[in-house]
Amino acid sequence: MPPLSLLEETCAQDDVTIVRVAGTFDIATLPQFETLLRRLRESGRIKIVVDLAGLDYISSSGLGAFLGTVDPFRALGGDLVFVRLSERVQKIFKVVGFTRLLTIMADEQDALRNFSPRRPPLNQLILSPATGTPHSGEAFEVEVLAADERGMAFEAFTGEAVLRASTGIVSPAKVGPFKAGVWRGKVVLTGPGATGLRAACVGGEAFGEVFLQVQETKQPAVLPFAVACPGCGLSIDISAFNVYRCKACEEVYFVDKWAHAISLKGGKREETFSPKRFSLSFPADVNLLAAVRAFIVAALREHGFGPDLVNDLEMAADEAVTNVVEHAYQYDNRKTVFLELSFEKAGVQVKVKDQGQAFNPLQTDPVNLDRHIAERRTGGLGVHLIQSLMDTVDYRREDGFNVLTLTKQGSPA
Amino acid sequence: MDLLTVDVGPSAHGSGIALFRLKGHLDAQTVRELEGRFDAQVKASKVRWIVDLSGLEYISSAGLGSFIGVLSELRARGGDIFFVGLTPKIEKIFRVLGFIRIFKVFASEAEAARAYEGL
Repeated sequence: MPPLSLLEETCAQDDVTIVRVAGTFDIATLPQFETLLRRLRESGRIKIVVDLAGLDYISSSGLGAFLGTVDPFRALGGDLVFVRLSERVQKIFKVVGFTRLLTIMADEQDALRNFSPRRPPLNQLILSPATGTPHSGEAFEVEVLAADERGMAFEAFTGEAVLRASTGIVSPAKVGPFKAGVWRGKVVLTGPGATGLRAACVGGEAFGEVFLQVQETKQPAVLPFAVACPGCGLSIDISAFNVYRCKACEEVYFVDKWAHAISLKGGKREETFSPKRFSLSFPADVNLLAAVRAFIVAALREHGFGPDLVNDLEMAADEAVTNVVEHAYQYDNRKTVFLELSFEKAGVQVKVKDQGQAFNPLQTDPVNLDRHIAERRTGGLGVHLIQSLMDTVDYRREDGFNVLTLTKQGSPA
Repeated sequence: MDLLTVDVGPSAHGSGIALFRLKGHLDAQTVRELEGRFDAQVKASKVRWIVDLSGLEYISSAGLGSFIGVLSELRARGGDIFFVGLTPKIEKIFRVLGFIRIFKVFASEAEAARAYEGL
């Protein structure tokens, strides 16, 4: 019969010892195991993980002795946790009823979790982007893992995380919910250059950062070029950005300037109006106002709105964001401003959010311009402007955020 | 290229008048630069200003507020701010905020300079 080999190991948890078993448990080899366990117990090592992956055979006398080894450890407040049982050993243990009497687990990680007095707390967010060099304006996959200090998933986290880029703008600004400590999805960065993409739990208990080199916006494809039908893969040469019908499978698709072939469902262009939403988050810095305005102007023009509405929203958004930077955050550019732009059927909505002290800008005194001049006051005009330019202005305090919602009616040309 | 350029010099249409030409964007970021240029003129006792906004693509309340901030000092010393070159976008803001009642707006630098002479 092959002998028994027992290997002792330490592990990440310093009050736990791992014993790796290989060979056979029978009347001849069991005393070896018992001696080892007694030695461990007498030196205060009472939390033992017994790795049975290498166990080839266990005799009936071996089985009997097993039970006897566990109780002294339990009496001292520890345990023997058996892991990595082979299928055959599992079957045997089940038949004799050991699965009810002994602590048996799938692997070491489970055993260690079982032994830790309490779960290691949420400590960090680990970001894993699909690429280290995304293109400006192009979505890429990112995985955000809520983890403890060892980098193990903190499965209890099911909340949301806020995203921020150190230069440029990241969208979406908030991601979630996390499932079993993980969120996976697409993220867009704007602005070429090196940037730190930072994620922080809503509530701020943990955060993480990853550095990315954002490339210039991808160059549009140069005509003519070949595209493949998204339905059957038939390749055709195209010389115009247009709608095409596939000769082989009757699929109808549109080819855009990035050489993407976009299927138009069922051969019919769907004319339903789909509301669009943009979410930005950016540092509270007046140096970014021009970029935020440019974004809003571009998004509104792209959607087909005329210059009057575009100008009014550009201004109202600038004023709202400036107020947050100046009053809610006192020019602290480590703080984050959140802006949401959404297109509804009736018009446009802009939401500006901050996590400063509760402050309703609409409750400040209406501006009396003459007195303003006499008193040489330079603030307070922004809110007046917002209220004059927008159709509705609403302030709310929600989940620790000041939320200012502006709406303007209008429709694209 | 700067977000805001400010050119200041003597007006060719009158004596003792400072002509400001603003180009670009005047917001909470760039207003700081503008206020620095204001201070320089006030220190040099140039208190009659003509401000040409024809090159301005954007103005926010921060910019407008800076004009208000310096106005009473200029008027107390016998000066003023006259605006010229208002584009429709900026004229709308002046109306919305009631600036039309507070500041004088002229069609040209020559007209504004003449208005100073008449005072």
